Amino acid sequence: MIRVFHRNVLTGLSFCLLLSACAAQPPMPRPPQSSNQTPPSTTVTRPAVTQPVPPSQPIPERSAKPVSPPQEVSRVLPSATAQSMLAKADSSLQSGQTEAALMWLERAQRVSPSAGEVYLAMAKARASLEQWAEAEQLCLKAQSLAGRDQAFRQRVDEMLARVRRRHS
Amino acid sequence: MAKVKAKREVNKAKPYRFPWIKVVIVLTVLLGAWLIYLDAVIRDKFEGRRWQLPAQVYAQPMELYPGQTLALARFTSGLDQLGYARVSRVQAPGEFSVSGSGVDVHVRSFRFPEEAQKAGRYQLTFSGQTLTGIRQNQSEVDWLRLDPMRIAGIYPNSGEDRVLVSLQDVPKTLTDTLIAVEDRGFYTHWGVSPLAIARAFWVNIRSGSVVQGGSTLTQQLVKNFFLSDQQTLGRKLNEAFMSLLLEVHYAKEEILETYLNEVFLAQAGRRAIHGFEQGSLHFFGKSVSDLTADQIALLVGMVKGPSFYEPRRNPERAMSRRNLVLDVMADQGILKDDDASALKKRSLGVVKVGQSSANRYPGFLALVRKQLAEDYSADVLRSDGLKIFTTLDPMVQDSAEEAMVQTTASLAKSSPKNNELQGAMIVTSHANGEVVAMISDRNPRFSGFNRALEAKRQIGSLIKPVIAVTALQSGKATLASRLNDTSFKLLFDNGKEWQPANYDGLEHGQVLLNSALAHSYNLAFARLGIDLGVADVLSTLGYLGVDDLPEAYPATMLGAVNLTPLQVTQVYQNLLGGGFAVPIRTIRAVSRADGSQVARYPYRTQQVLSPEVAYLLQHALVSVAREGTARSIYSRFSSDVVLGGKTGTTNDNRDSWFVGFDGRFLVTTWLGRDDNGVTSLTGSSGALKVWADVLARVGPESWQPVKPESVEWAYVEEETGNLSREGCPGVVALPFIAGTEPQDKSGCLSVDSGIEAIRSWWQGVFE
Repeated sequence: MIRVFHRNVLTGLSFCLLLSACAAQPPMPRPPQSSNQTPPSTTVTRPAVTQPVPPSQPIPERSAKPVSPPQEVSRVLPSATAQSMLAKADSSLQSGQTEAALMWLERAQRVSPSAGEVYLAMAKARASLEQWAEAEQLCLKAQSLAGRDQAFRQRVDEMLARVRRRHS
Repeated sequence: MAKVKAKREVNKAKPYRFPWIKVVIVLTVLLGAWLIYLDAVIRDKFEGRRWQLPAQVYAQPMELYPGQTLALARFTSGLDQLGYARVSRVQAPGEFSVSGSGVDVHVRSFRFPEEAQKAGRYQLTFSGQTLTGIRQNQSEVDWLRLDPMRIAGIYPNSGEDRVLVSLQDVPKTLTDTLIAVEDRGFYTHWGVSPLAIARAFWVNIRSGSVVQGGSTLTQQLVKNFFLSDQQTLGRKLNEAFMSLLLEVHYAKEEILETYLNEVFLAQAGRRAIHGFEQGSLHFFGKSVSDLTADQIALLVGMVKGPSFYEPRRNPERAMSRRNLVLDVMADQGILKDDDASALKKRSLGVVKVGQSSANRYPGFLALVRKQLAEDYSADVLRSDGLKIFTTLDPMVQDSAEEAMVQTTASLAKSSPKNNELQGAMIVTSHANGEVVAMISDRNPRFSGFNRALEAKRQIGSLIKPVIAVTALQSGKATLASRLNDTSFKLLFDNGKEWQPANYDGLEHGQVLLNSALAHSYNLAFARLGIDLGVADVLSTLGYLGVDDLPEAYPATMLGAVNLTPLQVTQVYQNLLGGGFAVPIRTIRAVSRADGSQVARYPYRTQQVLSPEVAYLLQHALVSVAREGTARSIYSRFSSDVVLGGKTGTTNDNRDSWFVGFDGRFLVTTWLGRDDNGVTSLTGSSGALKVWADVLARVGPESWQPVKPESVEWAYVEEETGNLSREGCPGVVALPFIAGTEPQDKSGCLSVDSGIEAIRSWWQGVFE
């Protein structure tokens, strides 16, 4: 109990010192989309859409300056539609219709262009055509979109290793 | 005397040496030879390639899925553009109705390269800016694709525009009606119909002129295919012989199918519309297989006089003719009387001309042709009936055109210097490099000099991101590196001097790289570029997509580099690709006239930068819009939408550039004068405004790149470049490749560290 009390007092004391150190400074401008919180490590599947505002407003002077990091996009998953298209592509690939599979994958890419799964699937299709150089580049692209998803990164790394073994 | 007598006898015998039988034999031989010749002509044409088929060029189809950003008004505008008819009750393909926030649409059939899509009816629901659901027969549908808009044709010299259709794809109603109206004895005669000729002869004798024809469908086909329009006996005889020969060699079905594809139905400018499929597309914007009975009646009725009954120019005549054909259909049992009466009350249902008008987008098509020329000869394009599936998005294209036309008109009024202002624009989908819109002239319909492809202009400050990338990639700099934005002078061996200056004429001292790029400081970037090595910067420009690199001069670091808008687009496309270059594409696939695929132009990519460097650079470009030379963009958009870009201005405001991006599109805009004259426009007061207008029309989406795992954000004191923390004065948040954050700490952070040390000490005491 005493330890808890002491901790609270110390934290409060430190906070007061901090406030006094910053008190003479003007308040910081902030962009509306950022907050004081640590940037969340969320998975964002669809970008936000905003309506334009009327063109009569004056030019902002540094009011929108990014003093905080933007919302972090650590990974984008395919949308439900893109997932259906990936399933179609997979089924085409299984039945040997690689061109049809690639068509489906490009449609999935148009729906979810930042989803790493799309590029990994493209890499598999290219590999099935023994187009190893293309497959390697698509693996690298998928890898660049893995963010902090270690499980996905591992899948990509395995595929990349397979492609490189065949390529070399 | 005996000689004379003998001579007389010889003379008397002469008539007997030329008997009629010989004349008949000679004529028969000649006729036989003529028939053999006609037979060869017929067989040669019928068994070879019958027509030169123009290549058909299509825009990208509208692809729909639940959750998509698409407002109802925008969707219905797209349907209007495609020539779908807005009706109160949907009955046939090509029709739609709107009720509240829902749209009921009967999608037309279309043969895509990978699959034939059947016509079908769907119900779509919208909420605000989002398509929320698609249903068919009460079941949810994952996605839907509309038939693509035909945007151009590449025609043979004859100007004939034709899309082939097989007999099995033509509705029986159409063939029955055609036979009922034009040739009721088609299935019984041998190519000519003596009864019909006699009837026509009698009518013509009585009227004193040619008012009625007795031609069968076979004869009409022969006349159109092989002969002229002359009304001479010789031509009529040839027609009769060739019709008989055609019937001897070929089945009725083949003759009918050829007729359906040959018949002339309209003239549209230089294009001659031939065949029912092309006629159907021209007048109704849909395939012949999707036509309704009244539309069939109109098309069949037009065979008699395509110009006289042209429904857009002569709607009353066309209506009267259509209703006459509907009566024939009822008489012949093709339609019920009640149905025919009901159909007579319908409007003609003809779509606007624009839907299939030729070469509406000349700027874009020039790039398509350029890319096609790499793989196909001009002859193949004009005659093989290829279908070219392009990447053009008509809705974005129209938005871009409106923005260009209106903004340049407004800018031209703002200063006499802008009277001869010209412009070019390229819009790509930056995720896959597809060109979705392109403008090559301030007047988008002008098909002359293509500025987007051919106008090489100085790029000014558009070079700065390339310098920044070179610096970041070298590992010698971060976004927090301090650059020296102070004046300097270079002296060359030949005695000449070069002394760059900032646009505002000021020096800004020590500035962070991020800020120097945002504000486009010339002095800081000229110094940085020269320090890195002009050749190294040009090398970066090379792997970002520029083939014809300029000579390396210090002034190159201020954008004394001539590039076309297309080249600029390729460079920025590669900068936005997360480190992966993507070639710009205008074609997705090419298929044959029968729908089978000839070639596909797939997505390809190649890594050219590390994803971390790309992420850092992209943040700097976002700073341009947030705090730099493009911040005026936020006078039109809410600051919660993340946008980025770079302005470019050249000496005396001769070129106004802006390359901007949101979550979907990369837009390169150039404004200037063809004579390289002076304008009143900078990148931000000219080209940026066009981009803002495009963005407002298509609806902006936030730029949200995926952060590479090894990038970390840190707070940096803007004045010193030292590491700081959130809440300290004068700090900015910047991304760094992990481990490259500034080592020196700001005073604010030092105070924090001191407090933390005291706190730890106190905690230690009490614990």
